[in-house]
Amino acid sequence: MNPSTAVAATAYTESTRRPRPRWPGFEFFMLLPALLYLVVMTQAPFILTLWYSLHTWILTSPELGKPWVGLENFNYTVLQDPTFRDAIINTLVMTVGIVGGSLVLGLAFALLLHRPFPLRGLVRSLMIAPFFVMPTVSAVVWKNLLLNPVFGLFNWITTSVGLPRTDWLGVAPKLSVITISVWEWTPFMMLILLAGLQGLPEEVREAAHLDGASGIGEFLHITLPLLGRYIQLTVLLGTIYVLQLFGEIYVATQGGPGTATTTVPFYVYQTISQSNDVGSSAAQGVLAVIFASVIAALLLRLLAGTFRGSSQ
Amino acid sequence: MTATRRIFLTASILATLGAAAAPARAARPLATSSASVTLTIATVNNPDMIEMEKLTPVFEKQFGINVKYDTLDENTLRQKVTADVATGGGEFDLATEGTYEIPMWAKNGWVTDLQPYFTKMSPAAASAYNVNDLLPKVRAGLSYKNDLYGIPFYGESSMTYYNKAMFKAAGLTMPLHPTWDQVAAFAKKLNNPSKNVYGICLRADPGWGEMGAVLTTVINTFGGSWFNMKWQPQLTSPADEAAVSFYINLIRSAGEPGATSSGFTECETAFAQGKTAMWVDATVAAGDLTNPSVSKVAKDVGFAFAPTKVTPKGSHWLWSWALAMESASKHKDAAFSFLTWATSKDYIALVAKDKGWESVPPGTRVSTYSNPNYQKAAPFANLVLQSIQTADPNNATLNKVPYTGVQFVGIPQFQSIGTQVTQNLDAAVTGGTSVSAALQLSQTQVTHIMTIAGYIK
Repeated sequence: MNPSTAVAATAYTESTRRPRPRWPGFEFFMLLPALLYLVVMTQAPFILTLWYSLHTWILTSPELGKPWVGLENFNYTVLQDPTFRDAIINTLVMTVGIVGGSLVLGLAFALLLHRPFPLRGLVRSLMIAPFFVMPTVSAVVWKNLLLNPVFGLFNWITTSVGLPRTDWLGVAPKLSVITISVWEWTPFMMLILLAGLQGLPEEVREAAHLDGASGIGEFLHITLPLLGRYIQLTVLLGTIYVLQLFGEIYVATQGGPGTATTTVPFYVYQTISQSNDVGSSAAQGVLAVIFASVIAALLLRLLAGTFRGSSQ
Repeated sequence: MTATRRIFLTASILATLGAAAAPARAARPLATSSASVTLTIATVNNPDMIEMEKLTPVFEKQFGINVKYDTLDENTLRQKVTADVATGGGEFDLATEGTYEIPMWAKNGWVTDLQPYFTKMSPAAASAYNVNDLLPKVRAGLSYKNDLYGIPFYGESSMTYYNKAMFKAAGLTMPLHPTWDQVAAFAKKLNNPSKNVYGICLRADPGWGEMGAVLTTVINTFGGSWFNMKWQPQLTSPADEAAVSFYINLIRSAGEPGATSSGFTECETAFAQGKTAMWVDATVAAGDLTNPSVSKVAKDVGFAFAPTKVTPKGSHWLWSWALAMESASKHKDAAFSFLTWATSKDYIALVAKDKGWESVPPGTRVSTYSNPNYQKAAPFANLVLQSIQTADPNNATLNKVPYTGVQFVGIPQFQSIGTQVTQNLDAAVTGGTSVSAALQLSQTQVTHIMTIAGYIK
């Protein structure tokens, strides 16, 4: 046997002969402190929330105590609370609007930035900028400098051409919040899709041109399918983050007018901060986790093919 | 793994765990030593409090006590401090809270009774401080069973601001005690949307302390109330419906656009920029509006009492931000020293020297108002004093009611009631629903809340 084969054989036999760590072996005890810390830090808050959701506890009414009420909080929230129903619908509508809008715009900008032109690097940096502005800051800027009916830029433009003065946040609150968020999230979509576009092989496009494909044809039949994996990635990531949207709603509309922009995260915040109701808000929080998990599971199921399938 | 490695790993893990536990043990002995006490104060981010923070080094040098601040906006402050006192956390020694919270928290034993501390003061210190100099109504609003639980840091009522130049140009005069009908007529005459100038600015942003405050004074003066003697909500009663319809219609016809986002700050900006002819809101804005460095209309500001309708009772509110000592505080004596320093006559003189007499904390001491320097710097002083003295939280409605409070109802549930109702009404302000539909929905929701809380049997 030559030396390299001997080494290889020894390594192979050693790896099959080396015993796996017996549980609980020394290695397990070494990991135990870190494991315990991880379990406590990640699970304890949720278990406490679950515990609180099964009791009634109103902070400012200590005379009511903390009695056990079982599933009463859940029963009220799911079956009787009209605002929670509105919150679920609003969350779905706004998430679809924001993710859809930023995806379309992001794709458009990515296609435009894919072509070389002078100062392309500078333009790309400027287009990425909105994503780095903190959500509350962009909401404040949009609310006070752009959308404000008395001092805002948009109304200055519309009144200069004779159109009426509009209270955007009052008359079209969902649209306003969606617009602000689309402005923030388009760069995110654009970046990922641009990376995808730049990964497309040139030979396929040239082959399509030689076969006489028009611009639209090339886009629909070549670019989009090849970008499929990237589009589905951005939709999944975007949905997970946008479901938790809070800062923009808190600053711009405070969930109003009425309950027009009250989403599930905002409603949980309202319940604990206005009503000081720990039990109800804990129940809403648990339901929000279930709701988000359902949506994430559905999306993952839809996109499961992408991650397993072969692609360029 | 070799034995050496095992020993090394075990030793390092034990050492890390030991090091993590050590600070927790080491911190305890320090708490008992009085060598350097640190007070933690939670405060709202209003200009007067920020000034207090600025002048704190004077206190630290005089008493040798360190002070740490947690400055937050009103909603966050209320949330954090409520959670702290309700769970007995003791994170803060002192907190600025208002005439809404303090009587309720005193009842729950969450804030400390200050009466024993005042009795313990030396005669010299007591007469220098003079607790009887505090405005009686404000003092009553911060007491529970006649014992003082919070010391007013500043107090305010509400009044009417108007732009004298706009009134003169239109040939109108604002009486000193206007009625809401007169104000509505003025607003319609002075409303000029094509020039981006509006008749009146009124709070309509959702919140019990935002739109709720001004709206409640309008409900009061129209002869309505939030509840009757049996704690049944009165939102659909004729008086309440008339008041709310009047308020919302006035905003829609002659008020500022973007009303549902307009609170104190937005209306103050609009008035200071000359975009609105009138504004009914807190007296504490008078100082800023007459300050030429922040207000474009500084020399044109006119003052009048808050408008009335059927009764003057409850037409202007009473509010005070006060400093209270948490029951869970571990440094009560040091906290009391700070309490009496920040509300003393010396402190007021300190602010006058630093910022000028027109910026001293208003609405706390009678002596401030009889000070000629203050009278000279603040032409609105007498109007504010009279407003504060005639705002009675125990007698703010036409008919008898089971609650106290002028612009709020002194029960813990009012935070969520007021916010829910004003949110519903906001839908009527933007024209999404009718006022009576919004009031119907609110009536149902409030009845539900009051039944669960045990007020309605």
